[in-house]
Amino acid sequence: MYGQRSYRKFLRSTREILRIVYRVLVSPIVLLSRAFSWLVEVIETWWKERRLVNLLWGLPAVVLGGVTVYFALGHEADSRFVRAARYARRGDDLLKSGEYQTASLLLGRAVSLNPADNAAAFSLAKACSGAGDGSRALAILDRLAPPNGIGDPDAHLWRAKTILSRSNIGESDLQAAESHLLNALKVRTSDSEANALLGELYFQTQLFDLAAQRLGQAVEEHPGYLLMFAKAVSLTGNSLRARSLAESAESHFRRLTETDPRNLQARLQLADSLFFMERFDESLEVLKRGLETFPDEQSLKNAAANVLVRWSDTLNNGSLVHRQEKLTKLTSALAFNPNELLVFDRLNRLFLISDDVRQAGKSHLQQNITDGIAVAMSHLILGTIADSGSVESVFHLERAYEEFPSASVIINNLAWAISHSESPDLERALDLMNGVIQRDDGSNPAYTAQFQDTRGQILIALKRWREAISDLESALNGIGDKNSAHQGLAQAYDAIGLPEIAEQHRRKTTTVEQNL
Amino acid sequence: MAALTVVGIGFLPLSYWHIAHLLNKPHYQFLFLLPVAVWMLALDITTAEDDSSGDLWGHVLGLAVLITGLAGLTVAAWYWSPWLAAVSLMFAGAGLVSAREGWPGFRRVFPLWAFFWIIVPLPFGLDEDLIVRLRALTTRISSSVLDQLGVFHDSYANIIELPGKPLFIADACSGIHSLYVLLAAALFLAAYLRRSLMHAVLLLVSTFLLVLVENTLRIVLVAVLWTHQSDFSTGWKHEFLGILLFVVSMALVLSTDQLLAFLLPNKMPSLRNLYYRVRWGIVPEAAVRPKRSSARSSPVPAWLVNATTGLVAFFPVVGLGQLFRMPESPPPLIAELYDDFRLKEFGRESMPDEIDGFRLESYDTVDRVFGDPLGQASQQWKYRSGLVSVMISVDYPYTGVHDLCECYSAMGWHISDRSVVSEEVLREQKYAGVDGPVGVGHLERETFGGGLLLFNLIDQAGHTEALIKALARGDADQRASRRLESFGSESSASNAKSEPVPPWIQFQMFARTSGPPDRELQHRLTQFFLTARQRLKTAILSELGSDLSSE
Repeated sequence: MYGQRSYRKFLRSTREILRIVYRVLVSPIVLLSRAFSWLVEVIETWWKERRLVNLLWGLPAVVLGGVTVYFALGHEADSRFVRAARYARRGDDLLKSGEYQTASLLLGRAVSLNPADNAAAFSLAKACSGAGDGSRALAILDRLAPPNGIGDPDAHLWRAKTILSRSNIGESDLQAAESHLLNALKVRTSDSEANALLGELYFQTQLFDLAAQRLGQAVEEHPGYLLMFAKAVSLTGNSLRARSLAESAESHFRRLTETDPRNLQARLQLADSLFFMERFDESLEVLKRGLETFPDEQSLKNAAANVLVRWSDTLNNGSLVHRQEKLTKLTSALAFNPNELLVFDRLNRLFLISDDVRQAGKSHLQQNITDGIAVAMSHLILGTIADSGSVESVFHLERAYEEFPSASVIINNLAWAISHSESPDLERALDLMNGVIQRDDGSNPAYTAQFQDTRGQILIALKRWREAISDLESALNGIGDKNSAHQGLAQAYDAIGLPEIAEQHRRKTTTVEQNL
Repeated sequence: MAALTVVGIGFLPLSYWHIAHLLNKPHYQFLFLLPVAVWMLALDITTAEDDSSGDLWGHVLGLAVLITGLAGLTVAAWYWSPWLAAVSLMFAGAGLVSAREGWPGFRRVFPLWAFFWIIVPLPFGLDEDLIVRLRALTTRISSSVLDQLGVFHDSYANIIELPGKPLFIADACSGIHSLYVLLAAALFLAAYLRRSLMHAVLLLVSTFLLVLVENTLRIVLVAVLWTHQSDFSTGWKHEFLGILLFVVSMALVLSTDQLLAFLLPNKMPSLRNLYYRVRWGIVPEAAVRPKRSSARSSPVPAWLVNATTGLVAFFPVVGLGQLFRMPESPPPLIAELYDDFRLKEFGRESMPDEIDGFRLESYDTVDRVFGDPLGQASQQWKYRSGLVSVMISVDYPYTGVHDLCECYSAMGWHISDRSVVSEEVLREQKYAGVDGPVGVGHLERETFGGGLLLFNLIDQAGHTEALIKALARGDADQRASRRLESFGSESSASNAKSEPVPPWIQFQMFARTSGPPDRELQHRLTQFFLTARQRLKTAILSELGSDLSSE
């Protein structure tokens, strides 16, 4: 009995448990199906109430929404860095084509999108510089390549190049350029361009050892610097190596010239290499061939005149044959460059000895005047070699002055001639010299001294002693012939009552005469 | 209606001031259409079923709101705050209707009441902040779209710069004008068509987004057309484009309303129904909330009617008090915008070729859209000395004194230091040609270097002023509290000085350097500005025929 009851109880409990299990398993499905049917009813009701006319009127808003979503997704897909790279590429293209304003706009955007892109920032600085916005370029470069710190090597290099390309470079500029180049080399130790520029800078400042050291590291990639390297090595005393380097330079430039006969710089460098090795005839030949291609190219003519002058310098002045050869070369140089003062200087020296060469030279210069060749220089030389103050001298120098009213050497000689003529016009001579000295920039100290000497002598003639002393004393160290200056000073010091100093100058005059 | 009129009388003087101030802002001039809109909405109310019954608590709450409105009006009258009066008017209106007609009565007028909120601008100058944010947002979105369209440009702060064409995103382009009009239109539409609250909210949000799209489209179109050699950034073309896009936007608001009408159910599904349906499988009748039976409604107690009537009588009294508190001269209902104000072109020769080592390089004239913060027109002389470039500019017209630092800030410059240097200090520092205060800003910008900005403005009578808002109002974070504290200072401040004669003309000098200018350069540039300014001021006043030109 007890067992039967227990059995029934067990069955009831089992049924109850099964019912609970059933409810637990089935209830969610039932609830979900009820919720779903509710949702279907709601949607059905919603759909029945819809008016398609509302949708039709709403279509423009749907289209606008679609377009907005399209651009929003496009924005997400286009990353900042991808955009920055696109702007940088386009900006660089514009920079190369010289459209600086637009390039700076686009590169500015590239940098604002990706401030870590130093290459774009550097291009931006270049674009700003090209567009004339120097302050912005400098602001960027100060960040990229600070003057007193190590930064981006390209930016340092560019800053150095910009400084070195200026027309008037002072000591501080050279120091700044050197500092930038050294900073660039600290980051990229074997940067050949930086080495080349640094070598050039040292060469220009006559630090030939350092120049040779830097150029030696640059010439492999920049063979254009071979000749400068050869010159630097030569100036450090290693002539043999210099010769070898000059030969390498010759081969390099000859190859360039043969590849492209219109490559003017290569031709000039080839001629210079040959000139350096004192192969004057070959150098001249290279330049003449260049003139066949570029008949009006003044740089070729100037180089040819220079070669001829230097070539003439190698000839002995004592031999008549050599003097005649000198004359031939100098007159040829005059034909190449009628304004070359070296020619004037060498012809003057040549004509110091009165002989057949002088006569032949005079005839040649007169022929030049007749033929209309190098008229001003011919008049200048004829006026200079004629007796000082003679009518002939004054005439030729006046003509030269008419041709070149701003040529300081001509004015100097004219002033000298008219102050030493039979009826000297000292006031005009002084006016002329005042103008010359005012314009003189002091770039050629020998000429500056010569001008002061001339004015000093004019002032002596005008008895303006104190001013004359000032000029002549300034001139004394720079002029070759000091005799007349000492004489003038002796006269001036006598006049102002200082006979001791005058006597000392007179003694110097005697010494000079004895040395002569 | 009579009670409403009595309450309205109490608000009259302050309301005039409020409406006049609003109408002086270009983006609120659509309020001229307000009476028509109100009439249309009011018409709808009068034709509605009359149901004056309501529960007691609705009436009591209404009375409380009416008291709040009266208190607000009293404070507004005492401190002469037209904005507070406008808010109080809204409270008083709602309170009066609720107190007299209960909650059902208020529900009937709710659309009209909600629409009326358009006369209440955002407080504490938040609408100005909204303008600034909208400008920046519009610029960013436009820039992104231009990028996707392949139009190369630069974008910073509020500027989209195209090759050869900087586009300053002015108020007119930032969408603030059309935003207010279109929001008002959307609100009217929702109220007039008695849309559901959900519908109205979604329509307002959509309209806000629509305005962003409209103004982005305007900028993008101007930029794209510029790349095709067609300039729509100024003049009638710009105006035409603006009107066209506004009309399209208005049509799109209507279209959005229709779309929402299609999408949203006529009656929102009830969660209660969902519960019963899921729990029991059916929605029993008993589960549906029964309508309030009329048995629960009770007649309005007499004390409440009397209290309401008594309270209404106080409004005209406060209105009368306003007559003694109001400023002497009421503002004009329509301020002059001076959009046709022009100066003759002074030309390059009007300035010397060299000033203190700075050489004149160029002279330019610039035309911009009306409302542009840099002035609708400018005449600019550009000088240079080495790496320092200097621009002297005369910008006009401005309706008030203008903070130029904000413009440069909006152009991406960081203002590291700003100040207004008084005339006395300038004289002490031995400057020549001193005439009024000068605003000074020290500027910095990544990849641009440094800059020095000097500026001030003159009105038509030659009076000089300079303003830097940040200094006048304090830190931006503290702005709201400062504005609260400054309640009441408005009336006394406005009458303290002699009335200016607008439009104002701005003189500015912007010097660019690679880094911060040193003290010597600052001194040199300040003198440069004063010299140039003196010369230009004389020329301008001479042209305007001012008596001060001879001084």
